[in-house]
Amino acid sequence: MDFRFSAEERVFIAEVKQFLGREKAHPDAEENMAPDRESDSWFSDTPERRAFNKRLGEAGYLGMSWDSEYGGKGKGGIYDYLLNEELSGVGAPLIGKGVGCIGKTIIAHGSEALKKKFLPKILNAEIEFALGYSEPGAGSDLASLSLRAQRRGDEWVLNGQKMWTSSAHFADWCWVAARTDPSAAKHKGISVFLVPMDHPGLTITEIKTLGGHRTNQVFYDDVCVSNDYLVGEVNKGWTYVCEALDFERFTLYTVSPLLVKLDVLVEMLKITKRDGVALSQNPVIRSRMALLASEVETAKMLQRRVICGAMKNNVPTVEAAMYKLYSTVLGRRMADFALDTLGPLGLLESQAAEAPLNGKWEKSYRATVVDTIGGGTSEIQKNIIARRGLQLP
Amino acid sequence: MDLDFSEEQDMLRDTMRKLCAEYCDLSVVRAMEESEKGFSREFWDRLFELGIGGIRIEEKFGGVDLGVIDCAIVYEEMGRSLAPSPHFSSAVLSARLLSLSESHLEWLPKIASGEAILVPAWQERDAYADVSRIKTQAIRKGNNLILQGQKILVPYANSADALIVLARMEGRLAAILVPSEKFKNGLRAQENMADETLFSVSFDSLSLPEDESLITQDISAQWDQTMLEGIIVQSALAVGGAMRMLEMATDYAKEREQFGKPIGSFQSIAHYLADTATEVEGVRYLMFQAAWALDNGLPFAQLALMSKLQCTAVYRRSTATGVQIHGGIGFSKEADPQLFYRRAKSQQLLNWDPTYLEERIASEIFG
Repeated sequence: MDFRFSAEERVFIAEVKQFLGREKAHPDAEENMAPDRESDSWFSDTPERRAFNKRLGEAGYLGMSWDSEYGGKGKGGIYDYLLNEELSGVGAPLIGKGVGCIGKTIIAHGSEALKKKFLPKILNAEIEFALGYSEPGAGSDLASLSLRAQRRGDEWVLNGQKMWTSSAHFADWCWVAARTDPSAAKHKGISVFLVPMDHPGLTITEIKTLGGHRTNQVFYDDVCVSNDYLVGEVNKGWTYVCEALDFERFTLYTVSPLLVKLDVLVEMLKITKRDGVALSQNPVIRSRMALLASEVETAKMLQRRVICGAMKNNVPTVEAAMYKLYSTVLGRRMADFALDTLGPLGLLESQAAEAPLNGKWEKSYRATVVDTIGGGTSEIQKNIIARRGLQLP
Repeated sequence: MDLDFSEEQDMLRDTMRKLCAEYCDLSVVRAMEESEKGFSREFWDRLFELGIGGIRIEEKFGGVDLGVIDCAIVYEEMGRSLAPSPHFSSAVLSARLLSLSESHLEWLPKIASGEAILVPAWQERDAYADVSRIKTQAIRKGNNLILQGQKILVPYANSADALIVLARMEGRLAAILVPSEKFKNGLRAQENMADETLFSVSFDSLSLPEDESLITQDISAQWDQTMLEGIIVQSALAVGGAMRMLEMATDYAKEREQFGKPIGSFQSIAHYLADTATEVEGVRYLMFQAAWALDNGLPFAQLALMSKLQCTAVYRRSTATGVQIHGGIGFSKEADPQLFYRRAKSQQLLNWDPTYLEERIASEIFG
């Protein structure tokens, strides 16, 4: 048993920290390193953030786990994870879906043409992707999706609607799951396509969210794409979607944001007074804080189980479900607790001059709501743990 | 990073599981609840014959000197089987206290072989965990010490060859060895929730020769170190119990049918179990991380405190859920969940309770 990262991994972490130290001095640092954006900070949704990702690519940090044949370094997935851990800790954009699930699926199943077209651009951070999965009638039951793709000569014509396409308003391409065989069983009639976001048949409308993040619904109205943009084989899409989720298990859920927030909370409680006494001296707050800190350490352990499973070439499906379930609700409770300690002043938003920590916890309370819903709800995680982990019927 | 166990550790777990199954299954546990002694001598003897008894005692004293991770593996199994014994008091706490104090070392080989049982007596009505509040007094009188006071919740005092009594002495916290013939008359059983074998022990102007009895005049630092190690072992005990409870409840949910199907197919039941499985998995590695830190000479105190707080809380919750899932049979004495339900609460409150743990954790966090 060893709870430390290896010497080589620790050297890499130090290297990334140095890179990020230099980035802190960059004129765009405030835009690029914004932990208060919560999970929204993962995105490269502004020109400054795209430039940041380009610099990541230039430093050799994109595609580390890809084979050298495709311009990667052939390193273990642990390095992608370690990089994301550092990036998420400072609220910088993560290495993203391109290097992660989309690039890896193209490498595994894509045609030579797709590989040539997309892989080099992914490594240069030239493409941002959106994921077109959820629909109005297909949320937790994703396999029941109904956006239709019909073959017409050398083309496919897509019609329907996608929901919660968070990156639609800034992405260049969308990775879309569509129904290609309505007569087949629901898991067996789905295919995956790449659709350029500037296609005239797409209409993107904003959905405003509780946390202030933008997400979108995307309407597909006779969107024609060449058969070249069908990923892999027709009607094998569900397999690719599930595999892509597995590719992400390694990197998707980092623990740094939770650890960093805990540190911020501790400092705040030390310097914030109520009735003349520091909040850190309040016995009720001390007791709740002891428990919260212990729970954050427990979350870290669940996260370590995920990466250990992934490092041993297992697919740590149950471990990942456990970590997501435990850590996301903990993030919500942390924000709730932080607001409780602040009392009514905690309600003030960042624009209000008196807002403690610039309204960090007010924002966090609203922004963390999505975490127990997006990327598979807590209830879906519990189903995975119960059925696959405990073999319940 | 590697959170898997070595082959030797897997073998140790197997050996311990077999030992518990053979000599201390739940029927033995039930019998021990009714017995005065409170533990199976057969189980005790086998534990030491296999060398596991001296797991935390140095080789030069006849132990096998394995790490806390190994000890935790052993205690997970004891927790699974609810195996009662004075092993924790004697071969974990007392052995460590003597070893750290470098005093009365002649007892260690006897503890390592299981021949002698030593039990620390520290808790008092007004001093549960914070030993600075201990009132029991030791007063020097010539070559003797006069011991005055009352200890409570002393495990297996009726089987102990000697107690290690923590007492105030000239402004400091001393550790004093009291042989059984000197305290036998002051014993009174304390009936308790988990039917643990606990006693109050009164010392009424008990006179002891100082040179034989005084372990050290200032045990504070060694005591804290010993307990910080001890609570990791207690965490392992809780984790083992929680894992067994989860298994029992999961098995029951698969076989018990209502409304024409196994109750485990209802999400209300399945999600309870998924929550429990998640917590148990998380705190299990929290505990092993503390053990690993200690074994590797890294700072471990905060991890140990967090571990005891979380592991016993999760054990308690797992038994509440486990009893609930068993429905009517869950609260019957005949079925097994109640055995776990009572012990989980007991383990949460004994050996440093949440109130104390939380305050220590908070002190470390806020400086």
